[in-house]
Formats: sequence, structure tokens, C-alpha cells
Amino acid sequence: MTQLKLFLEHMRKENKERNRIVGILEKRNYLLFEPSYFEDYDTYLKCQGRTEKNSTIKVFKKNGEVALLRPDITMNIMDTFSEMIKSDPVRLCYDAMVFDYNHFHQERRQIGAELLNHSSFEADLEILTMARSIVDHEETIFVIGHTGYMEFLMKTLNLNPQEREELYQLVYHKQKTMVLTLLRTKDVDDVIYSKFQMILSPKAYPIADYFKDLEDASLNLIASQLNQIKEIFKDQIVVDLSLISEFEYYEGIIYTAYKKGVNEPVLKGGRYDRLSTIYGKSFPAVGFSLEVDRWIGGTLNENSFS
Amino acid sequence: MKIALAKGRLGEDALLKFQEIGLLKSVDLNSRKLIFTTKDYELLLLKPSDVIVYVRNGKADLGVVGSDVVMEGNYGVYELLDLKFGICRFSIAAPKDTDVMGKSCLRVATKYPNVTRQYLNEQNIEIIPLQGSVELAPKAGLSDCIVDLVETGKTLQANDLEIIKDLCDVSARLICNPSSYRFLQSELSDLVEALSHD
Repeated sequence: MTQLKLFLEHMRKENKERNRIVGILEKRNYLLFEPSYFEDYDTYLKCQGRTEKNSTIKVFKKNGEVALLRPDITMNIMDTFSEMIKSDPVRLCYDAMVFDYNHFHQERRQIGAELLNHSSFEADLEILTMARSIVDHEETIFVIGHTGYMEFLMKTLNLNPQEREELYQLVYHKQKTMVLTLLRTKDVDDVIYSKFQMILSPKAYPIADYFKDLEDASLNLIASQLNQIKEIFKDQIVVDLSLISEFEYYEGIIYTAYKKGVNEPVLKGGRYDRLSTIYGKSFPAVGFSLEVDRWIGGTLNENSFS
Repeated sequence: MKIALAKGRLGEDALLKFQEIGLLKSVDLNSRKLIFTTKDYELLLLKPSDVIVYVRNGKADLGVVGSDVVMEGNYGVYELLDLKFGICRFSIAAPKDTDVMGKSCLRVATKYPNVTRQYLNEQNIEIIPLQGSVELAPKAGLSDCIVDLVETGKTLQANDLEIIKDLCDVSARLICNPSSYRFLQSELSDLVEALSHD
């Protein structure tokens, strides 16, 4: 096949898949939103979390202020809607490019959905069910975690902010020995130490084992939510309580999906109630985004692993 | 499952470890072959620094590397197990009988700038990145001290250097890429268990 034919074939495949996914979202009353290309630099700095520093593409506005080409759509949605949100929930979806220097291509397409101003667990399940159905494929693995579990383990350790961030980074990158070495310098309780060993092991333990011998009211809710999700999705999901979002504003149920042969997640999502506070508001939110290029299988000249 | 091992001692020790639990028995490292295929495994023999590249890029599911490679910032791979061989440590060393740590700005020659920055973060330092023969730098006046991997300390001694401080332990680690971690979870879990009990 010629290069042109291959390219056109790829375009057709991508358009068809975009239509399929956006069709699913619109059918469930998620209104298609067209985000702004620009994002406020200072606001982004407040929420960048564990993302690569200096990876954003900066542009100068007429008045000399720095703005960003949107590295993410969620913040863009919050910026647009936070002032208008009152009592009703808002369901939005998007199909748009994001820009940064982190990846092989500086422009990537994301499709996602956000359910704003809805705090119930049913909202988590609504978004989770849509996300799961979009990547429902035999070569996809859907991984569920809960930020509250790591928060609890961290709380027991009495770490200073620098140690806390270091430990989060090591767990995020699943560097088991370095995590356990750091814990050993902290005179950590045996039960907590064993939980870190469990979450950093490839072995899949029953959900109850992760909570055994831990006593905290917050953990009951976490265990109950995870059990309900496992009951609904059964073998369609795996639980990984070491799952950490690169953005610190996520709290509660979080998830990622992997496609066979693609080394980075094709989908990420979860609850991010804290993000609205950066915009001076306080309302709950939950959503997910799909990396379209990774999901479709990489663009023509790019190996999926680039 | 594809396994990437380094040519040389680390790879030889890793192969022994796999063979002790009954895997890769037919592999003969003296054969000069670079790929070995058995019923369930494919073994790739690579230059040590390339092992992590193959694993990170999904061209090998598993690999064995020294933890120094990951500590230097080569994330993007998950650690499955400390294999407890290839043991050495990161140390600061300086010419004998010198008080370098009292200097207001310490010039440190090293192949590991990130590890050095991490462990000497409270000290004002200038890092001099080198590719090899780091022990020569203080003698040549290029640096006040070095940060390097130390196993027996004989190379330091031969170059009139002494250890000022040990920073952390280093050993061989079994690593995998995030995709293999998810899609081969059950196989990896069994493998880690077998290697841990050995």
C-alpha cells in the first residue's frame, strides 16, 4: 500500500472510532464541548501535580502574559463552567487535541467525559461504566484503585512533605525495593509495611486482604465501593491499590486502562472533587479521558511504544 | 515471555538464578548466540545499558538490571524483585587525608549526576559528569571527590582514594514494563514467587 493510501486508511479508521465513542457519550446525554485552545499558566501550575515540569507549550498573549496551549481538557472545562455551576449536575464530553512536549507527538487527541456537580457513588459508576464500555476489548485491561487507600497508609507514616512526595513518586513508578528501604528508615508498623509489600506485588490479592488488620472509618467506605465495583464488573477489572494519579486533585475511585502492546495507559479517569477549589468554587466532579492515538494503535509512522 | 539480560557477569548471575528454578536450562552463554528460544521464553542478550531500553520499549517483557540504572532516573519500568546479587553501593570517595566535605562548593565527578544530586542535596555542589575512569578526576584536579559504585574498594585504593560516606546499597533487580505488568500479571506473580523462595 502506498503511503497516501495508508494515511487515508488511518484517517478513516480514526474518524470511525471517534464517531463511535462520541456517539456513545452523546447518546447518554453528554453534551459535546469545544474547549479553548489556551489555558491560564498560573492556574495550571497549581494543579500540575506529578506531571513532567516544563513540558507545557507556552505562548505569549498580547499583554505579555504567559498562557499555555491546553495540555489537558479537564482544567479547561473547569475554567469555563466553575462560575456557572449552581445546583444541577452538568454532563459534558469532548473530542479535542491537547498539547505538550512529553510525548512523541506534541499534539494528541483526547476524547473524554465529565460529570460535574454530582457527588454520589452512582456518578462514579455512571462514568466508570461508560469508560469501561468504550474500551471493552479483549486486549484491554481495566485497572481500578482508590486514592484514599494510599492516603491512609501515608497518614500513618509521619513523613515530612519532601519524604511524602518522594514516597508517592516511588509508588507511582512501582519501585518496590526503594519504597521498602525508605519505609525501613521510618520505623514503620509491621502491618503497614506488609500492605506496601502487597500493593507493590504483581500478585492479585482478594480485596478484603488489603484491608485486613487496618482500622479506620474511611477504609470501610473505600472497601465497600471497591467491592461494589468488583461485583458489577467482575473479571472485567483488576484492583490495584498502588494506583496513583499524576494529578494531585484526584481523590476517590481512580482508574486506568491498558491496551496490549501499548506501554502507557489508553484511558485515565476518576473523581476530582478538589479541582474546583483552585477556581474558587467547591463542587464535585468525575470524569475520564481516552488517548485516541494510543487506543487506535499509534499513528502511521509511530511505534506504539515511542 | 521475552527476557532481556546483560552480557557479562550480571547476566550470567541472572541466568543462573533462572536456571535454579528450572527455566532457560538449555541456554548456553558460551555459544555466542544473542537470542535463545525455549518453549515458554525468549532470551535476548544485550549490552548492559540496553536492557532497560528494550524493556521500557516493550521489546522485552522482563529484564535484569542493576538498581543504579533505575535510580539514575530511568523510570518507565516497574521493579518486581530485588534479586540480591550484583551487590555494591554508591559511595562518596576523596583523596586520602583531605577534608573535602567542609568545602563551601564541592566539585563532584560522577557517572550518576541524578543520584549525586539526590544524596548531596543539602550541600553546595558542582557536578562534573563523566563517562568512565571517574577515579582519575580528583588526581587530575578535575574534582574534589567522586560519587561512584563501589564493590570491593580495591579500585579506589589503587587510585589513592578513600570512602568518605556510603550513600545507598545497589543490587540486581528484576524489572518489567507497565504493559507486561498488566497483561502477564499471573505469570509474573508466579515467577516472582519462585525466584523469591529460591
